[in-house]
Amino acid sequence: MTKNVKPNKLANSIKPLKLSNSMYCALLVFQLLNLLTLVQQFHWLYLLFAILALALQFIVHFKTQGKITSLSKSNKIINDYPAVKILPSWLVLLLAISGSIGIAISGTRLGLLLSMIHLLCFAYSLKMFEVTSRKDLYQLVVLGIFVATSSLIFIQSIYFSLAVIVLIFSNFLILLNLFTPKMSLLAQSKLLAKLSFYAVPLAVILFVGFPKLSPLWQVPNVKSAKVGLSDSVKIGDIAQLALSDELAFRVSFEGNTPQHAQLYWRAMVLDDFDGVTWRQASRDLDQRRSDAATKQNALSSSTVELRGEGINYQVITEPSFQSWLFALDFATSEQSNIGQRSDFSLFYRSIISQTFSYQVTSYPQAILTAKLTKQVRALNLALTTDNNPRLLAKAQQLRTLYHDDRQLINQVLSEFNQQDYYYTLQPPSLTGNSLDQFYFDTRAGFCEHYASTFTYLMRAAGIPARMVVGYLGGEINSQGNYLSVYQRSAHAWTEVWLPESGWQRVDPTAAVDPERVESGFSSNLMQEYADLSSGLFSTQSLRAMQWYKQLKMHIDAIDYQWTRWVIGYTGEKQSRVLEQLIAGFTKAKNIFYLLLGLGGIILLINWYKATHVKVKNQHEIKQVYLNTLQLMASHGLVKERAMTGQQFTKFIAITRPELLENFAVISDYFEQFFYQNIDNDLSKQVLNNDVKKLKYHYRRLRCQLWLAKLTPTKEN
Amino acid sequence: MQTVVANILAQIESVVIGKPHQVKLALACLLAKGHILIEDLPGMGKTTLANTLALTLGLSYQRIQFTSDLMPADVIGIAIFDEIKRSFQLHPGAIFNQVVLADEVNRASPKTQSALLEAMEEGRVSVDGVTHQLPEPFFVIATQNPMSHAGTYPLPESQLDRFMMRLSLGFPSIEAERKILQSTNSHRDVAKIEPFLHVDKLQEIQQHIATVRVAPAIVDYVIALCRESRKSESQAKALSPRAGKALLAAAKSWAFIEDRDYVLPEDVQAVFSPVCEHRLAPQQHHIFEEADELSQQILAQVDPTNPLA
Amino acid sequence: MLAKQKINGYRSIKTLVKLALQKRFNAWLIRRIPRDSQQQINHRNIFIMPTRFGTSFVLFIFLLFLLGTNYQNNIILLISYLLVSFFIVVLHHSFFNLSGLRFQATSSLQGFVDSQLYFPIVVTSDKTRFNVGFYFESLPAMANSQGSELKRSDKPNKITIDHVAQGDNNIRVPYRVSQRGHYSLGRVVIISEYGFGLFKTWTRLDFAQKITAYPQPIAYAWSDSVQDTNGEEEKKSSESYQDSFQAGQDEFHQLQHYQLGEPFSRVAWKQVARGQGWLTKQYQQTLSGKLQLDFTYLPAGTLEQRLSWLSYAIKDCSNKQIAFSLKLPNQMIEYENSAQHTLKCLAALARY
Repeated sequence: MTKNVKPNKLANSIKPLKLSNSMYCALLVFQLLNLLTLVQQFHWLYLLFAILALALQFIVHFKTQGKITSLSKSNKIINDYPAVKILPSWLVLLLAISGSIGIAISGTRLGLLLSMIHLLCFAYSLKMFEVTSRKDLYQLVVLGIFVATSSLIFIQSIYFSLAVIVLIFSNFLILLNLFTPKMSLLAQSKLLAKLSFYAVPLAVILFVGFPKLSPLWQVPNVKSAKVGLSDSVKIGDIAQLALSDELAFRVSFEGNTPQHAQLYWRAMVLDDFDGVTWRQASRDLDQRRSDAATKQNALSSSTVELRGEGINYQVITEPSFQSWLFALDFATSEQSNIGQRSDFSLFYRSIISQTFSYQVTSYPQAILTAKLTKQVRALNLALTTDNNPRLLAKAQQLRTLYHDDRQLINQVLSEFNQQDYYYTLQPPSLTGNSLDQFYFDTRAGFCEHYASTFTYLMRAAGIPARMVVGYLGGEINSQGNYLSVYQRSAHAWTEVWLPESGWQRVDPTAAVDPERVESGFSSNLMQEYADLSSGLFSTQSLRAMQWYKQLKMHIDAIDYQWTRWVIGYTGEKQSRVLEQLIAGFTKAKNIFYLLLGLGGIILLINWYKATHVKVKNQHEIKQVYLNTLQLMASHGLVKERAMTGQQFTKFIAITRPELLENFAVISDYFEQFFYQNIDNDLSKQVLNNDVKKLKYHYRRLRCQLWLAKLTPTKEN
Repeated sequence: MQTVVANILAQIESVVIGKPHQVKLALACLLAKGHILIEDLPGMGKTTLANTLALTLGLSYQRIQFTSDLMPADVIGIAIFDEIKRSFQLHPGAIFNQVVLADEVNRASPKTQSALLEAMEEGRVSVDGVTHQLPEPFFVIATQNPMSHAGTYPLPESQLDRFMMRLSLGFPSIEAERKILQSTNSHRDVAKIEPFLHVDKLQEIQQHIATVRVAPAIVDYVIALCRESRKSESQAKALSPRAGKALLAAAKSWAFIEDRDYVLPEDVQAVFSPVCEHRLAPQQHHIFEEADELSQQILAQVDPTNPLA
Repeated sequence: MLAKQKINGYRSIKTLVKLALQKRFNAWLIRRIPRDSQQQINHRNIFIMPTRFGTSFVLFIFLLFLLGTNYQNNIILLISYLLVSFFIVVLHHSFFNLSGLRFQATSSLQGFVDSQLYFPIVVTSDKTRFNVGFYFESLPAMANSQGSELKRSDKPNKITIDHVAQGDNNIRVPYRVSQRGHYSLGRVVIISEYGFGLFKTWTRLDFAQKITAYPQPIAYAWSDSVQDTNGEEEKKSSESYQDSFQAGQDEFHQLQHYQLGEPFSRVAWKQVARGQGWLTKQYQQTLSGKLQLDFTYLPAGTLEQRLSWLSYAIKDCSNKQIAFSLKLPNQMIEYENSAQHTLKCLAALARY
């Protein structure tokens, strides 16, 4: 027993679907585009499968097309044809099962996330074979959107993101075509674009205002090779990194950008040297992992003494698939997902698998660890191997000469400076990574050589020292007022501990190649760099050109703003923006502007409505007359539909005789022009004059009506 | 020209008392070369009107009383064999007159009716294979008593639009009735009316009417009205282009009578109901004034100043 | 046994409840969307609901939101916000696709039971609209008959216009006559799924038109009582006509000698010319029997059956152009011979 049966309610979604030619084409094209967004992540096997599937579908489509055109030539025109089942169902099922098994097998290698993505795309490819009812079409579109969206897990650059957004909305074209098959493609696209634009304001409001939740559960992360600095450094590592042009991170300072020489970006501290490689001491790794990096903690900590002004800045780092973060000494961050180690380096509580933004406040004048514990002291003096005897001897020699630590340090540095030590991207190789050989013989190296040797020397001389790895400097983009730090700015330096002053930074590179510290690569280095990185297609000359630089800067700036505002819009940022907005709203000046803006919009809408609902006609005189009728109607004098002009004039004569004078001119002229003098071809001149006269009377009439409305003198 | 028409009207109205509007319509129809169908109860003055019209316009007049045994030959005429001359002579039927009053046309059999209607359409008749032209001008004023059902053959719907207008005189007003009852005229006095026009003059008037200017706006108005009638399918029939033409012709005639040389929408509105009602709702019979409901509906839907909006 | 009774009882309670709810719903509907032959769709009488696809789409957006939140990926979040916003925009767009449509339906329907009729509606639109479907809402009375399923006929009972052009469009909505009588046509459901299939927008309009459903003609060998003009009653058992001779004018019957006073138009002049003397042509009017279709004289059967037989008889008569009169227990329709008369009689049957 059914109530109000809609007999075709179900039928609509189950009845066999008729796809038009263009629709089928569209489905194939969108499938291709959607899958294209993920193409970089695909396993080659799946790629092959997808291409084959697509090719098969294309071929079948063209074949059926050919059949139809030949049919239509013979008798009738068939525009739609029922969705052809390309492969029999059992084959599709077989493919599905085998594909799932294949993905499960390579699951461990791909990683959980990628396996799931593959599964999704596999289902998407197969779905195309089974489009029989409208329901299937819906599923296909939704799957397509899902596939395209998931590509954004891997790539977040602005241009890619925008392209994906456009692609996602374009998927709706398929659905639009389903309901409006007769509309041209252009008209459909226009309509879709219009609707999408209308969707933007609300989306922006939601984005800005809707609370950001922290992850509800742990999700499988993108697995990828680590990028950038690694947690173990041996001689030659950083020099290799120096050839890379990739972006490491970007920084926006709230106030003025500090000097280049101040921009030592601390990433990690390496204090365990086994003769070849510097590593992080394992003990340190476990200790206090859960410490937050907040200012509160810093204030209450015994190892830090905050002093001076803080510098606020926002860092946005590219995915490194590691967890350390970059900051200037001494850094605090209020974000809950950031921790701080006992060596003051910041880290992220997970792997950085996508562009990550964080807010930092640094206190460069803070004193770090004014007092050392015995443990820490011992750790930082440890020289676990003695394969550098000459250095040991040198250290002892220096120790006897200079009792004061600072003097000792200065001596070493001035030796670096005055004797011929070279700073080069292509340091000669050392046998057994012997620091001795470097210091005494080759005397040419990169930052890690000098830092490593210096730290060793310090430790040998009894001064606690450790190596710090990170980045130095960066390039300012004047367009966007931010700093870009590339992998080639990777740097290593030393921290020594002096009593009462705590840990102090000493950069031996500054002694050898001051330009490196002051402003980046020196011209020598640039030349080396150019020689080393030029390949078959040298873009070097291109890069040197000014306009290219400018263009790149512009593009980067846009990308940065996008990254900062969209990707970097964290929960903390949101709360700050909302605070600012609310504060801004309460300011009277802003309220005034807002009201003004609203008023302007309302006026605009009214004006648009008024002009849009114009009566359509060609003749100017008729238009004036009809406008007059509208005018009268808006003042309550409505002409009934079937009334002729004369009848209405009589009506006005009876009810509002004072208006008759002006109205009659227009009405009579209309009558005369339209019914009587049809043979007379009035010259354009005369016509224009007449129109002007009519418009004049129209205006007078309008004045009369408004005056009458505003001064209610006589009652009926 | 105008005074002539005014005088014609005055004269007719002096005989057919109290129905100035219908008289005007009838005259307009005749001047527009159309046939009239009058539906009325007996005794309203149909015959008087027809007679007066014919006489005033100086046209020959004949009344045919249709009965159930009336043969087509009675209407059209027969070829009688003259024994002396030994040849067939046409004995013209009553139809060979300039104004023919076909009284109670629904009492005759369909055969006879079609003879009349064909003649109206063709303007000529054929008797025993020989074609004879009907006089020029030629008008038929047919009457029906809509209330009598028994033994009647109502005119077929498809033929009804041969008549340009359908009128109904109806009951007179009190004033008019008073005059009628008090008048000493009898219908025999009708014959004493002097003709006002010569038939040439009539044709001149008709040609003049043909030159009345019809603005495109008027044509649009008529088109809009016709289209409006086509919107509802089953209850009312739609107005065909033939109806549109009849409407325009009648409107021109009306404009002429109103002493104008151009047509106004008012003219179209004035003649719309008589011209179109019988085409829209052929079944309904037009006795009472309220029965032109459909026409009023259609008129109400169209804006004359902006008809094809 | 008991279980079956229980089930039946439960079913009947369910039906009662449903009927009661339906009554209230209909009353509310009548208040909200009154009957009129001219209707316009506006915010007062539009209903919008998401379709199945619409709700699953919302779930999908939620899924995307979760994805974005878990990966802390702002772009995916932005996309989910965009899609939500788009969803709302499409809601409005679907609304505007239907809102503003004007309808005019001024004709009533007449037809036999079980025939397919078409109800004309004039749809006036000020802009192009898409995917507008029309169908008649089935009456609850019919759904309850015998508790049977609605028959799935091959003929469609819904029409969908893909593209409603600007201006006037004439459409014909199919209507299957199911019951005899004179009753209101009920509501026409106007439904559209234009908004990307996400929403279905509909309204139910009652155009205040009635249908006169004549009983379905069922053939039978009908007998009739025949009266000739002389008033004698004669019964015939099959459809035959009396060949009574009556002076009429339809068919030429014979020649007779001319008698003085007969009109010249009756004279057979050809014969005169041939020298056969003066003869007059006599005509005969085929007098079809004046049939009276009488309800009480029908063979035994249910009311519906007898009405159906009468209906068949009337249809037959009118096809053969036989004049007849109809006698029902409560009324009598005079002898006549016209299409209008046929309709009148059929209508009387419908209303009985």
